[in-house]
Amino acid sequence: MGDRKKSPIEERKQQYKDYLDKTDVTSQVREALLKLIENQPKDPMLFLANYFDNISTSDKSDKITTVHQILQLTHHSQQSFQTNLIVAYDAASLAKNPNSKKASMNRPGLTGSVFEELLATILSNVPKNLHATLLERIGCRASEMVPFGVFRYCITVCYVFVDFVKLCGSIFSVLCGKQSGKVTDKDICEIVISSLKDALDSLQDDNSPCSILEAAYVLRPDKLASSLLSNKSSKTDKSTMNEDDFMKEMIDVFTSKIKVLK
Amino acid sequence: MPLTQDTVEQKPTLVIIFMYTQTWKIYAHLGHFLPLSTARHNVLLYVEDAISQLLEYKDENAKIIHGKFLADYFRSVHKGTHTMFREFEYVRATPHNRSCFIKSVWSCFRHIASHGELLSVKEYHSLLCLLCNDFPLDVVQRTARIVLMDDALDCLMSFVDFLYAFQIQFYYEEFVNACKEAYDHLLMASPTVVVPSTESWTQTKASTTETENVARLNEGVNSQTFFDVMEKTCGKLSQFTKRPSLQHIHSELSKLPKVTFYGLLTALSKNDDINAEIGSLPCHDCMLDGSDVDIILR
Repeated sequence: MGDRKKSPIEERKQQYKDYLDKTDVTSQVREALLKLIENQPKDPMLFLANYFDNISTSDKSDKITTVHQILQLTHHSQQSFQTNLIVAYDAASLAKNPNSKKASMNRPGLTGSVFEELLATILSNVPKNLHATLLERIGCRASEMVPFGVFRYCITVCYVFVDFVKLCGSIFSVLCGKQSGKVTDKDICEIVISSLKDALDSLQDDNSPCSILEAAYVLRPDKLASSLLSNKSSKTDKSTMNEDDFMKEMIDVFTSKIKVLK
Repeated sequence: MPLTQDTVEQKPTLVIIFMYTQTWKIYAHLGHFLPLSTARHNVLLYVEDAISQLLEYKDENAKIIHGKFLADYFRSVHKGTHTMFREFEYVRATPHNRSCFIKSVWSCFRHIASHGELLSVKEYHSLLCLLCNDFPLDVVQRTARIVLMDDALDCLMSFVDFLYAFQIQFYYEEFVNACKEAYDHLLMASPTVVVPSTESWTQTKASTTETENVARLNEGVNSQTFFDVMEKTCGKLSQFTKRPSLQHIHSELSKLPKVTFYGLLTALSKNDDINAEIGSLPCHDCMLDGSDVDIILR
């Protein structure tokens, strides 16, 4: 009696298990959980949703999308971003078609053209006129092979750049205050831009912790506030600056600090 | 320590110990860490539920894209639409589910408030059953006790009063139960003895609410004592159990020298800080703000 009662449930369980194994759900979920633990995102549910979205679309997508998805897993300030970089580099350097007889198709390695495409994907949220100078500096020649060091440097710079553009946008809206229309006082903008420049100039080349602290000291809020206030009192002319110009100048300051690779 | 024959011989042992600790670390990383970090977000519960939903769904639909199904599931958990039409056990399983359910009650039925209609316990129960078909009556009854201060349970209630009281009762269920126990204990322990209250409590009493609370002064327990007991009770609750911050409870309790259990819960349900802490409902005055489309798409 006991056997007969128990067996259908057991059978059902086994059926389900077989089904999940057969359809790869088991391995996918296991992989997703491992990725989740590794990356420790703030919102695990959104992370899982994106992860499974990527899985279900990845059959159609190309190499660039796959690599981009790997890099997108976690923010660049997280420890696990470094691991993701390695995984992404491996995925990017896979040969296009290992069985092909043509030498250009079966050789593994990341070429400059694929790499440029990848950088463009990462920067796709930033308007093109803003990131053109950056790409000029870190871009490679189309036929070059990209070593991992360069890959890591460029990708990290791109992600920092995307964050920087976002920050610049919010700084500008703070500067605008309640003024309608996307324009604000030119002098104020120039003070902000020049203080960022000063801070970056005070950075030494070796990037020692001390010089980073010193740069942060130059950027401290009370100093910025006092220089803004001193301008306010001596204000005479009313020239203005729009958002595009402001962003452009800020980004010029940023990109001037980036090594030219070409 | 100089490198002698002894220490060289000890080396393999040291290596083994080292390897052992490393393995243990990895083990701890996977085994110990998994429950702690994922427990906060109840990841395993959602993954299990997602898979059982998937298995149920595949019986009805042969052509199913597993990745997409799971992605949709997790997206709806993220958006907070996942508790709609689910069984009660699932709805109350996690704090996130509870708050999402409260939010959907609000977004589905908020127009009842605009007509100013008053409904009874049974009517509210049937409304909730529309969203979760096995929603138990006793949760609604306990909510009514909060609204009506534990008497005349067949009275009608306004939707606003009901919703905010329901939020306290449903979201903080474990906390409410623990407090009730503490309160009953306190009531049994000191039936008639009046504990002299501290200075600050007496002052607030004298200045503001003396007249209207004269009748109520005879019932309930001393607020300060109740708060002390509650502080201890909260310490005993598991770290994953949601409870309102003690500072908000304190600010409510300090308004009166004596308090009854349901009086306190009513006060908590009207407290905007606690409402903001749960974060699923708008403040009391802006319940009808925003169009339906915005709320559904949000």
